[in-house]
Amino acid sequence: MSNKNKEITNEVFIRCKKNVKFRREDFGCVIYDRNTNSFYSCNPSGAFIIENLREGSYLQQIIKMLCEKFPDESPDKIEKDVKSFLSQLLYMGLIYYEK
Amino acid sequence: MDLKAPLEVGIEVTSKCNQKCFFCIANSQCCQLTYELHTEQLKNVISQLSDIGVALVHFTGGEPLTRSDIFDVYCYAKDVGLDIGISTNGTLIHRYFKEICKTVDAIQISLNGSSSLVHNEIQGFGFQKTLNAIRKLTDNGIKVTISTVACQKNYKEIPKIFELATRLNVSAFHLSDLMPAGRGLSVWKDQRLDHSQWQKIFSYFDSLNGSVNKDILVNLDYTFSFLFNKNKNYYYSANKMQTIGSEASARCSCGETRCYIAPNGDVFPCPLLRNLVAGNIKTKSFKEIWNESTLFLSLRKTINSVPSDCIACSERRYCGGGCMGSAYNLSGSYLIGDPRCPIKTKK
Repeated sequence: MSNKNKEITNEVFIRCKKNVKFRREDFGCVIYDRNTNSFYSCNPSGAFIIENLREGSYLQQIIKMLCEKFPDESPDKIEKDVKSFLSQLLYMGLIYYEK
Repeated sequence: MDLKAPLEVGIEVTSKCNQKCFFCIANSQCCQLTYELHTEQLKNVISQLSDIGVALVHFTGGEPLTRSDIFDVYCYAKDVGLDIGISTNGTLIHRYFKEICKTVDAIQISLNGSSSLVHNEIQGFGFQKTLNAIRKLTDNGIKVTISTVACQKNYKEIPKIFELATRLNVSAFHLSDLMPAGRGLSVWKDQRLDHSQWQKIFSYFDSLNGSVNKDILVNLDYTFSFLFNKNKNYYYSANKMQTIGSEASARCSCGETRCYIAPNGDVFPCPLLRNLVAGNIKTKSFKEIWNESTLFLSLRKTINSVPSDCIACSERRYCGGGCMGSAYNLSGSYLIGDPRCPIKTKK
């Protein structure tokens, strides 16, 4: 499952690791990685992405939902931001992906 | 950043321990205290923790396996949906082996030497018993983390301890710093590793360069490793919460993301700050203590501001001022920066 440095593309199916716990908070969410005993926080958009990943949504579905949620924002920018966020989660070992 | 509840709560289920590590931060003793929480009180606390959304409960002590009801409580915590960790010295595992195989997924075991000479000098006895227990657990598919406190007595054999860990097929190797608390406070000056010794430890793990089993997670928990290890290889701090997308790191977040419950029910922020009690769960609900205690409210303010003596430091974004418990125990105030800081001690 070590795919830390791979690029997030539209063709991958991303999943949260089993050892990762998630809790909604007023400021967004907190994530707890049981393997490393590390805690992370993120803002409401990050929380939205993680929550949907955990529910089994595909990357393109999440981007589409965010575009609907933020109609004034450019879809390209949203896609870029989502992929950048997911790259960080991947680097931290919180998610993995399957082709 | 106000959390609805801590993410992790450590429960010291007893202060009794059958060993006597010379650096024990809990200052564990050979006798059980008469006012320790009984089974139903522990279950009640666990229910409260589950209800407010705590992710992980960690049973510690003392030696948790000296309590005959420990697996009754453990199973209860599992039934209410909590993730559970348990820390033990491994010498009593044979008593509960069947229960452990049935219920436990992961367990943390102290191993402080690669030989009985060093391990037993530090912990009192039990090297072979602990080794046998680890072997038996890993053979039965239980994930074992070996936990080692780095000190002068075992510094030279840390590579050997790690090699032993790999041979024992453990899942993780956790090396931590000797902290100035409990019995550790009186030996801290003589027994702690200095910054250059930690640097050598990191170099050793760097030099392995993939030659060790990749399935072993290596955690080198040294607060000031960012001074020579900016890319955070092997590094994590169990006491911090990182904001995704930000390099900045807050100060140790005890009282914000985690807290502890003493054997008598006292709720306190961190094993290094056990003299600062936020309340007692025999007289108040956990939620009330977490949300309303003046101690926790004050600590949360402190966490989010860099101590005044660290404001001019170019490295402050990496540590936020370091460990409040160390500051308190070494200087009398958690409002100042961590006195262990190598930058401060150089001046």
